[in-house]
Amino acid sequence: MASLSSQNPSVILQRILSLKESTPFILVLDSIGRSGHCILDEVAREAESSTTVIYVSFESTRKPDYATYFIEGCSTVSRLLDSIQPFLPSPEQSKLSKGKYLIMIDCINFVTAPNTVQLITQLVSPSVALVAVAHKNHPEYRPAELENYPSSLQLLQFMASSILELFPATVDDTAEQELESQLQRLEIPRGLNSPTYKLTLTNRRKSGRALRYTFKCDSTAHTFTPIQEDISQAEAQEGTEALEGLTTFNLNTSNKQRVAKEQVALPFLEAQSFNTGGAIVYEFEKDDDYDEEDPYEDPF
Amino acid sequence: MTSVQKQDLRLFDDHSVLSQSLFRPENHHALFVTHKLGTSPAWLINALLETHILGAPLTLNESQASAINTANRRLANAVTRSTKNTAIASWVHNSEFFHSALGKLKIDPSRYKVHDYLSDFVLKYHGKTGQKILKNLVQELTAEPKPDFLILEQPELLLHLLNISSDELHLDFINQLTKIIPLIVIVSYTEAYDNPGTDTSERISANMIEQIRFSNGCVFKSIAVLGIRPLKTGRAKDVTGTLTITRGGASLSHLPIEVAENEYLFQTQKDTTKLFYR
Repeated sequence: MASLSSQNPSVILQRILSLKESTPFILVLDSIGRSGHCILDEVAREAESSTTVIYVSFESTRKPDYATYFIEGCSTVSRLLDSIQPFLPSPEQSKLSKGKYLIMIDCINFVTAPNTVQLITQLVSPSVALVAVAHKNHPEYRPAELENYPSSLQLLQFMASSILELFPATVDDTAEQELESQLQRLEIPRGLNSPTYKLTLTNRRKSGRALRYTFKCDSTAHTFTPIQEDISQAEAQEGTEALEGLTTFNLNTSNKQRVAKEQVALPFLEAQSFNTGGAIVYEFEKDDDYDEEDPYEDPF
Repeated sequence: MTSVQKQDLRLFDDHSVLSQSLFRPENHHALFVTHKLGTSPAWLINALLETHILGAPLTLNESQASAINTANRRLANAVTRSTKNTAIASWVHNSEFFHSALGKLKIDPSRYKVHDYLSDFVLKYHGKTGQKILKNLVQELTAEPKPDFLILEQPELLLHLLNISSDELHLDFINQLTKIIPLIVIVSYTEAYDNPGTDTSERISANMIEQIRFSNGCVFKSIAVLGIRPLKTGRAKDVTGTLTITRGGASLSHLPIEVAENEYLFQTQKDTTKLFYR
């Protein structure tokens, strides 16, 4: 997916971490091998000083230095919302205030699947960004009546505009499998949760297209080095070469065309904005043939 | 094996077992000890208690006579250490178990407090709701003199004793304790832990889900995980098992110390445990 992207992966990641990209909900997927607090630290480090950080903690009892407000998590969503909302700006305030609001949740697994949607939709707004850590491989109890309902993790992945997935740095696939089998029995080997780790960024563009990049990260030096860049460039090159000489037409796309293509908003995105309530969105255009007398033709 | 050099136990890179940085005001941390079938964590619990009370894990690598001598010396000139409050809460051992272990080093029972939740736990709390019992337990464990070091031995049994979820146990018990006590050690039995992951279609029983969630939660909120397990190759005359010290999920970036990741072999014989490098 990253192969034909025109953008620099490091720049996109930097923009996401500093909340400059339009990503109201960033999901951090972590595991026992590499916990996600390092990403919360990076976001706090990159965020502008005027940002109000509301830290909702289910796992830690220590208020991080960067947090403006510290809220203890609770299992009831309504109570949790009641405790967070006083710190969020009202719609009028958000128009006037220049600073951003950032909510950090250190473990969203404590919120059950049916309540996840309510929590996220009520917190996220144009002036409020949400960064939530979810633990992978954290099983959840699902009652029989909700067996076919998506799991919390699936819902979160569906709703997130950017997903940052963390992996411990491993040498090769064999080492990865060995590690997985050890962690399955909670036998924790040395070298996990180290400052060096692997990060996969899935960034959903406005067009609905998802771009995926992998980075090698160092949390002490705060560096994010894209990996597999060579492979993706080679793939892109191959794609270009394959189209050359096939026809008398030019089938290749220039960089400018690629950028324009990425920025096209696909029509189904309108249906995901949750504001239209399932109504048919019709935009009248000048060439449309509209008959006022026909009651069945009223698109509104 | 007698010719192999014995190694001192150290958990942090300042060569300490329980670093003084952990007890700074406003700091609250957790350590997680996991153990499996055939490798009892009693020696490690004793070592941690000795470290907090006497300043060093005296019974490790030393004969009992030598450990008693050192303990006597330290107790004689360590009146200042009485300011430390140590507590143990166990759901699998009664108070006699700890008094007998620490009594061998002539440590006065007034220097530590044992909460025996093995004897009469069900009778004592019969008819009360899970939430109320957890509140009572937190009050008991944090009563004055407030401990600054608490060991919880197999608190996961509360999941089944009180019929509560792992999230409730974490939020209403473990978190409440970590908020008040500077350092807590959670000792958990993980033999049955088998987490196939969320991608698999394998069905896990509700009890197992709660157990896995509890153990995972403990890993994420701990600064270090101390894993005790038997030898992979089976039994050996000169080795009982391995102790692996690894970083946990919680960050230590606010402290000047780091976890000293290490793997020891250990051999438990009578009253002493010896540590070696592989």
